[in-house]
Amino acid sequence: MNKRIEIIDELLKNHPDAFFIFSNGLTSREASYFHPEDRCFYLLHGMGETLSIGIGFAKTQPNIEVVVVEGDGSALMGLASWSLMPVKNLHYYILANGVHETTGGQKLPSFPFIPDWCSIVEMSIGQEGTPNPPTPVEIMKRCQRWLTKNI
Amino acid sequence: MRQDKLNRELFDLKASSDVFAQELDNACNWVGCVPDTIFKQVLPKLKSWHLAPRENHLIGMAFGAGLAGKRPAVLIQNSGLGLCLDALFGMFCLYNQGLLMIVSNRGVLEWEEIQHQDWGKCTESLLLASKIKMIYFDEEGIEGLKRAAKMAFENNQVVALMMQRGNLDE
Repeated sequence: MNKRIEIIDELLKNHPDAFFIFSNGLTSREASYFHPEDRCFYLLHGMGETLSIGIGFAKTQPNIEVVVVEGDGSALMGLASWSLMPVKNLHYYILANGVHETTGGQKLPSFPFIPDWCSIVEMSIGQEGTPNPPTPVEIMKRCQRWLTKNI
Repeated sequence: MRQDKLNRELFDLKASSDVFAQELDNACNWVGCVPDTIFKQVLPKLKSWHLAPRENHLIGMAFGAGLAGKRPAVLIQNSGLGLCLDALFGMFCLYNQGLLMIVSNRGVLEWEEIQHQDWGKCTESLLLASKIKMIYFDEEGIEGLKRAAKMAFENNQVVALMMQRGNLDE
């Protein structure tokens, strides 16, 4: 199984023109450190809301490809937002290692069902050493550079 | 105060749902809602609006729309604050983005159903403790809506417009 950062790297390469939204925790932390890009929005909090942000964005900007990447713990927390899917210009990836890794590896329940618009990418347990993520101000500043050019 | 057809006490009517919808459309260009009775005449009169299954996801959608260049507004019942406070802190407050949050303050009047009463007692204290600015539609009417939207988007903050039962035609 691949590491989180290897999967993120591949997703960024597979969607070179897309706007990315990463969930809080290790997903945003590793993405923002190893692959900092203006076209990425990194959540620092708001667990369970990554997909709903993506839906709000994608429906507002139907000509922009949007990619939502979140951990399985966050995805389970946001299950009610699945009722608003699919959205044509939104790709949804769940990075699944079956545990709440940040908080000590507590085992997660399974997904009740997996719709065809949802891609579950299995990944290994483990994390890369990273410093603190960028500040919210820095995240917005970088992101606005891309948004200003593309909206 | 006034009375409805069943002689129950209501707050004063401050605007028709037509005027409220029109002014909301003028002030904000993205509107989302988890429906409440108080807004039932307003929703069909808006240019468009987005339904969310829960208030926390509504805040997420509004934040996404804001990132995508819109001025978002949400309409929720006060009980929805119990679901969406963390989403407000973790998105709009943390990243300093503007949001007009229109809150129906249910459970304030004595005759309202018992399930609303606890929320009627604590809504304002909760918003105050959360340092979310409140503007009272019952006091300012449509000018309050305009002022709340201006404050939200000029200062990049969450502003709650508090609606009392009776302030709009239901």
